[in-house]
Amino acid sequence: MRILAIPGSVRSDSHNARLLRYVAEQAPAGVEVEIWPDLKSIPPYDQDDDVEPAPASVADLRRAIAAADALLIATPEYNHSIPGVLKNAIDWASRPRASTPLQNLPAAVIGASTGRFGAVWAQAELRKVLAATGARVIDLELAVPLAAEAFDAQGRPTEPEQRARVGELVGALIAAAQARAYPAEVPALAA
Amino acid sequence: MPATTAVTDRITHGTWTVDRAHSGVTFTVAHAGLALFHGSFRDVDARLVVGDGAELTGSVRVDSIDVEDENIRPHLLSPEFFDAERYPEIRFASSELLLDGDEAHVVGELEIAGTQRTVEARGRLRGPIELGGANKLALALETTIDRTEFGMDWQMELPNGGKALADDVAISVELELARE
Repeated sequence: MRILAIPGSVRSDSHNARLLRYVAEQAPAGVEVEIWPDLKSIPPYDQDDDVEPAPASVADLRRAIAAADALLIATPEYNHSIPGVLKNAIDWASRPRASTPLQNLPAAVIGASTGRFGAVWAQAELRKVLAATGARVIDLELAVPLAAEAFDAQGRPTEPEQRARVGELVGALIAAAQARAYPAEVPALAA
Repeated sequence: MPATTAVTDRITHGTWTVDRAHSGVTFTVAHAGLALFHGSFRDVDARLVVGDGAELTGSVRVDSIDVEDENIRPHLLSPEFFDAERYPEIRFASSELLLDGDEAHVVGELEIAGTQRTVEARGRLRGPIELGGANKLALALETTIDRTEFGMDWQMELPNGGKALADDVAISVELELARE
């Protein structure tokens, strides 16, 4: 099982990247979490450039999504919404719409912010955007507010409740990926 | 077989199966309170079994959906609408079927995206006639469903305050059935 984890912030000391590193460290056996290193190298979306072959960084991202069983994005909040670099990457990954690897991909959204609300508005917007791409977005939220003080020296959330919430959310994402890999039989129609 | 059925004598007992080339399901939903948006399903299966009672069953392959815009199709197949990966078929089974003169009236369970609801449809019966060596009849049925009752509650607020997509969806089923 492979989870692709994308931090929506590109700065070197990103709280959201820290949150995803914690997810990767805590992942159960058999679950590999790949943290996407580099949204910054993805060019601005331009339909004129959206041809084969795709720009190398875009092709890498599309391949990584196609190889993933689930997607986890940790977003900060900029002006009540998601960062432009993150939206730009999703826009590239969602094209062509009819064959995007995002279609049906189980996805979860979490977020950390230095404010009091933990990027909840950005998370809501990101869920909407991912659903529009066809992703199977799980209906759980994880907000890490006051992010500058929310992690200990080892990069773990200091609050035990937050650590439990991370485990719960990642567990739900893994369950969604397993349900997709082994779909239940549709029962007969009861007339 | 359900008891609350009545079928006109001109339909002989037996099994009537769909002629796919001459059958189809179309749907119509108001977009932005303005134009009517149409779509259809190409791959339709149906069977009418007439004995002491009668039962109509049918299904459509969701991924046979046909709409005008190439970007709308994958959105309709996605978990926000039909969730075709998890629920590849829309299914129907009648619990009551009345074919009286040219009138058709059917009640049954319709399942869309894994959710079942009882629906009632009305329409007309044509035939049977002899056609190309086969005994054929046609059933045309119409109903309107509220898509939100099937968990299909995607919506966008329009800038003027209206809704992008209506809840009510009109469904029209045209079936040509041949006696086995």
